[in-house]
Amino acid sequence: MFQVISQIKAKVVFVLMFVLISPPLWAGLTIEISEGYDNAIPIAVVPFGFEQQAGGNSQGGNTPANKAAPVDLAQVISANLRRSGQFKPLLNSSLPSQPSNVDDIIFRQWRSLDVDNMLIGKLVDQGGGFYQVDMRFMDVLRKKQVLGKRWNKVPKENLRQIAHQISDLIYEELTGVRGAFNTQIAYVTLRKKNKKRHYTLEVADSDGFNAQAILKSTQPIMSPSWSPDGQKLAYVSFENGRSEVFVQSLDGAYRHKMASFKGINSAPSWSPDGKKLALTLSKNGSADIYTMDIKSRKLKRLTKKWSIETEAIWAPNGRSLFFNSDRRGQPQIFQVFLDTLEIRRVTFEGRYNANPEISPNGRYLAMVHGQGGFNIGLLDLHTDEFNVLTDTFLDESPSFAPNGEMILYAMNRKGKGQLAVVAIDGNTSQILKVKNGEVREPAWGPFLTNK
Amino acid sequence: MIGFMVRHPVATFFSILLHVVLVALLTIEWTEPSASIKISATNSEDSQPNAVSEVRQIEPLKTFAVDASLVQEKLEKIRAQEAAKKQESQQLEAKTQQERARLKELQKHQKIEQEKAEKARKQAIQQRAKTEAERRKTELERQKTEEAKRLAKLERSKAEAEKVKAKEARKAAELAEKERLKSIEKSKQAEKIRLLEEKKKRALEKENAAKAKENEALKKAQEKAKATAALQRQLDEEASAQRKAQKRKQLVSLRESYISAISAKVRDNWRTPARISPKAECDLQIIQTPKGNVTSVKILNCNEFATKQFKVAAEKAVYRSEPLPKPPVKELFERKITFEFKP
Repeated sequence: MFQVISQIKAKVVFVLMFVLISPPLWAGLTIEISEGYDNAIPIAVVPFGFEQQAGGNSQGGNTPANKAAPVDLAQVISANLRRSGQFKPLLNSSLPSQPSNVDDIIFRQWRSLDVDNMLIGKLVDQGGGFYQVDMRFMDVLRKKQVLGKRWNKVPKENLRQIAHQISDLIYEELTGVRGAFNTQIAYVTLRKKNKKRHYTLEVADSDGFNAQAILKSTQPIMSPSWSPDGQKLAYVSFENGRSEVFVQSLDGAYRHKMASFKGINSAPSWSPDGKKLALTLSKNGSADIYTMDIKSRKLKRLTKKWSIETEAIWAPNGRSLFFNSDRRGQPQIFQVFLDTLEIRRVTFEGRYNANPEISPNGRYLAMVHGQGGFNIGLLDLHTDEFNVLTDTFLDESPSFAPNGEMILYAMNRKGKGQLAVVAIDGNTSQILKVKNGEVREPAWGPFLTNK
Repeated sequence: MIGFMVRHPVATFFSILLHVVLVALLTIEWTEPSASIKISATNSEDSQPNAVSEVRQIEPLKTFAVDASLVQEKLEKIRAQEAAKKQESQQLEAKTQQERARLKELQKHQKIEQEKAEKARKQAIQQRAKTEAERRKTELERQKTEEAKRLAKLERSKAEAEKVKAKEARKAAELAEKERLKSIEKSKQAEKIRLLEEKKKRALEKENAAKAKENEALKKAQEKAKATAALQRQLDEEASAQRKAQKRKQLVSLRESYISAISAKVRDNWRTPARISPKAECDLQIIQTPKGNVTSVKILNCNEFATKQFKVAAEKAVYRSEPLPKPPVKELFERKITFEFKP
């Protein structure tokens, strides 16, 4: 544990606050796209038309002309698509027209812009803070509608979520992969105030908006882990002067201390069925991997070694765990099978492989790979192909997006902890920053809606 | 016989020569003693020197002919004489005629008696006896001569017959020879004719053969010409077929290049944000207007790697490729084009 803490300390030292872009008030994170696909596909996301519902019970009798749309859905969607690196949404200024009905589309116009698809939509103020969202996703080349969906009575505060859902639909339509825009991320920010460190565990939308503080502490908060249903977080808090594992519901209904054994209590990880936690405990001497039944708090020790075994994560099928062990002198990733407790070594590339994270489909294993610096490495468990995905500095805590397409991780830039996202093919990346502080310990949450 | 003679001309020649020599010898034999007769005849009959000379000059057989007449005359004379000495001569003649076999003996006896008489007379009456002996001798001689003549005549007749026979034989031989020659000639002629005919025939045959050959050649030539014509026709047909095939091939290759130009343009316009397996593959069936605008795109026969996104992207790539490349030759334009698409 001291190892981990010292690692963090090293990264936290000499941090300079430097905010380039003044973020919206509600923004927790600022996302900066540093790199995209060379062959990003042009796409037109036409600003949604905004209407007052005729005869609607709108209060105050404002005319539609005076009233602006509460959320620029097109802008949210456009940003999402742009952030994926795979799309190149047209700037509003280059749009030849802004139709919001299919009949108004002059395909010729869009065709000449080398646009394959366009999104048009309508936001209708239904009164009472409710809105109707109407979207039409058009194939400009085939001159037909590909997607169309209408949401009724959407509360104003959920409009962004609708925008994320629309983004997901479009993304999936075009790529065949479920979009992960309508998801949340958890992370820990560090702000210094009056020479005191303030740690905050936050949860935000995947685009960094709608950030909410889950836990604030002057002591380090580490290793947030999403429950599979996306309703709870397990994390390590040093609030009591030593490491303890807590489980907290995001709605604030409860917070349980799960592990507070002698020695180290760290690295919680939810089992795929949400019934167990994997933990690193040193209550019996050296750090070992345990599983805990959440209901009964019953522990099961999986490793019995003098060496350090830590950072366990569950395989998607729930039958084995990957963990980090220095039993061979240098940290490498091992796999332990729950039925037999048989252990096998998984990584052989380089001298340092730690902090494993498995992709939702169980194919890729992301890890911190130490080779000169520390970067995110990706091992294809099907082919044993290993790639280093990042070229950032002091990378740690990789976390897969629920669709497995991207990896969110922490890194250090200009001496400041920041988050970054990289596609699993290494082709695109973006940086997530926080105002007046550092951000680290990211965890990408599960899909918020069932498909 | 002719055959023999033909076969042995030398023998024949020698046999003839032998005959001639024999005859000559006979003649000479007989002439020798007749010399005395001649002499006597000359002595007694001077009236016929010509005959003698004639005898000498002509062939011995002719001489006999002349002698025969002489003998006849002499015989007449002798008969006349005998008429005078009728008895004796009649007796003698009868004796002679009756006992020809004893004649010689009698003659011998007479001779002996004559010699005896002569001896006796020699001493006594040489003249008379001499004359008598002479006369008798002459008579005997004459008889002898006559006999000889007769014999000669006989011989002559015999010889004549022989001669005739020989002549006949010769004649026959000649005839035969002639005949032979004739026949030879004839056969020669025939041979000649035959040869001629044969020649003719051969010539004819040759001619026929030549004709046949010519015909054959003509036929062959005709056939050859026919074959050549057929070959030429075939060649022409082949050439035309080849040309057609070539053109077809050309068209096929042009068509291939046309279609590959379309597929290349589609591939150029291929883009998708989706992660597509490099193994993904579909057939694209495009229906286009002559201007190369896409009327419809059908995605067919996709393999297991072709996802929905692949299919949509492929379809889009086709539309993005509007207008599709024009065919290099107008006739190659196809409203419906299908090709295998692999990004």
